[in-house]
Amino acid sequence: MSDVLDLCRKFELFLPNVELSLSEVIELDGCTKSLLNHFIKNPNTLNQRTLIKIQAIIDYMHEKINIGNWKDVKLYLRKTITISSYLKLLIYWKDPNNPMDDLLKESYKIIDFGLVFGCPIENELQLLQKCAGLLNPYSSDYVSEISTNTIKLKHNEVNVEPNKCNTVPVDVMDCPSMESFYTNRILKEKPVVLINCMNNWPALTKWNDQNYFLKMAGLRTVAVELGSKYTDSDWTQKLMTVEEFIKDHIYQSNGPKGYLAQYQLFDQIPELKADIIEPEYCCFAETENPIDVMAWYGPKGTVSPLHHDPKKNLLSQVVGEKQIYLFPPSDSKYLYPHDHELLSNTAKVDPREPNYEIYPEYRHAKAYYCKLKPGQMLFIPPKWWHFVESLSISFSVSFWWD
Amino acid sequence: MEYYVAGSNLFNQWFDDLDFFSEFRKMSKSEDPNFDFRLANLMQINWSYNIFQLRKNLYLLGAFDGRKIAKKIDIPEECRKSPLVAGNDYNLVIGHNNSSALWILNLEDNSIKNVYLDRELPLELSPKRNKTDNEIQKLVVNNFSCLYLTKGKNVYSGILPSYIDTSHCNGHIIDVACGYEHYMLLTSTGYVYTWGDGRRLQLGQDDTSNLETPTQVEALAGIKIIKIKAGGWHSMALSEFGDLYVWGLNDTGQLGIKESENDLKSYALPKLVDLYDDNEEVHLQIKDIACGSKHSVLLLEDGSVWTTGANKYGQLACPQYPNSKNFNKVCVIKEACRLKCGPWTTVVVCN
Repeated sequence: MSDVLDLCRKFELFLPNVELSLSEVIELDGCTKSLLNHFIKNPNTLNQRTLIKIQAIIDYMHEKINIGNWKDVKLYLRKTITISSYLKLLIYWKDPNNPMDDLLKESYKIIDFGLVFGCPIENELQLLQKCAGLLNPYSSDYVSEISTNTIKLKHNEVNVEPNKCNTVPVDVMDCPSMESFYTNRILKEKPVVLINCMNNWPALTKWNDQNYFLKMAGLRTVAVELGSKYTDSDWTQKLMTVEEFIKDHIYQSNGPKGYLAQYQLFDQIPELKADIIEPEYCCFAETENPIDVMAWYGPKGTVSPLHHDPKKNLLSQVVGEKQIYLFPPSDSKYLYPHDHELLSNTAKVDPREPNYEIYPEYRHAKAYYCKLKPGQMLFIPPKWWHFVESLSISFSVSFWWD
Repeated sequence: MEYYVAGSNLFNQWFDDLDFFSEFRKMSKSEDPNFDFRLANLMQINWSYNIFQLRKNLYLLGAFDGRKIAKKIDIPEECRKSPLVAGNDYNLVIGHNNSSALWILNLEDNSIKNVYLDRELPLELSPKRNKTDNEIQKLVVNNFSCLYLTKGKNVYSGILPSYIDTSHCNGHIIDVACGYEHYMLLTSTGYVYTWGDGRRLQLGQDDTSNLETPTQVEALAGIKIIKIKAGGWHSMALSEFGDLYVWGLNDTGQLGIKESENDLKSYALPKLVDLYDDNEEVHLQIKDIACGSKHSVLLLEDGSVWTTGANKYGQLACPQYPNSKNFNKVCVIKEACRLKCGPWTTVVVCN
């Protein structure tokens, strides 16, 4: 009980900064603005009775942010979602009758919704992440661990020796100097496997134990891709907790394959960012754009079909192994890209078992191949085609920059 | 006039302490002694307030500034005879039947701006427009779009109205509707035209493309449509024979199609809706249709009211469902004559 009140007081400490942020949502309609103003200045009026009004603001803003293109959505609408999610969180913690486990589960749902649809407010940039951080010391008691036996069994599953015929191994460099990487790889746009460049990542040891993720993030909601690959018609995305993902998709595989792919996990859970180190090589940038850091976490057999991306990529392997086929941009004509506009950066050929009858030109393509092991990074130059398959339970982190 | 109301009362716009009505509630007197619902004409239901006309005044009930209000607004002298009014979260737009003038009242600072449909645009930009007859016949406004239909069958869009070329449309325009990001037109010959954003299939043109100009919904060709309505991201059309066609987003079951109740598939083309009462197909005529942002409502000739879609704020008038995936009969109001919806509200109007 005292934990609940204690946490509630800690959450309330953000109120002054949240009040300052009201100036960031000045474009809101008068009704919503004065409601927010009233609740922030009179936090004692936040109770079960007013919860529905806060929820209505969240729902109404959610309707509004669905109008138009996502990238054009006005920030004040998303900031209002952040602020209202925070107020909703306060209401739950103000009620001393709420049991701790319900509170934690509900709170993470509120926070993760706010993180997905909201955006940072200037006066308290990490408001919802900080709230989650305050909850974390309590949450591990409510997530059950996976037995070490299950973990051993799964991680020791035999890898099929991949088909490497007609491929050229990707060059390997042992912790090259900055100049050497810049001149020989970035400028020449050539892929390379980098070894001994991430030896000091805490993730290399910490992330081997999947129970670590359960402890750090078990109750957090993430968007998981379901289906063997994104070009399949039954491919879909589903929101689930990290606990559900690990237990139902990493350590069990009855249903469709689950893949936490291209996911901004480190913005959502900044504590995990402390386990990784942004490679210095990413400083060779042509723009001021921030580096996109994405998580790729899944069981054995996840596949990213042959595709290319517009940015430079350092794919850093933390847990398990992945095999990657690479093709230079000049090979596009041999790879049979999809016709549809949305899939034009994706090719139809499967380089593991190419069908020469349907794709006869493929025989002219020159495939580069590598098997990426924990602690190794692969530099993928922009526009280079790549096909990625996990050979075991795998966690990779990609750094995209331009 | 009698009003049966279900759905949002979050801002006390219906003078009651409940946050929402999960079943129809008959409105009679209000707390304000000067305001009797039975004498007032409901013009529009918005997210945070309702607009009524009572004699020479407009009443805004609810809380567009967050506080409980029953705000009285004098209708400009020129518009008193037959005022037209519509509003959104920021502005109230007032016009009237015999003029091309619009009064735009800013709800935050109460400033008023006058706009004239036929004076805002250089005429050479719109050579086909009927220049002589721009008296407003209908106006529809929401936060993101507004449309004005004139007696001369011209259509304008935007708070600073710009002319929409409808010269290619079959027949003259008799009705207009706006969703959150799409628009609809109905012509005297029963043709339906849509334009705007089509990403959620709300244009009924069999794809997700956006359209710049009103384009005929070809799948409805040969069917004479007499009523159109636009929800947030879905559309409805009623034929002269009382058949209902729906298309667009169906994420909360707002299309009410029984076949898709399991997968809540959205429809890129108009789909004929069948109604079932206890698995028995119903063959009564549909008298009126209406939709909120994510729900839809029908009134049948026998006075039965049918609802489907989102029910988070009680808008389906049927407390047992979280959302409903197909049309369900929720009650019978014999004297019901028409329907009116707000984003999260359903109202049955009786004379």
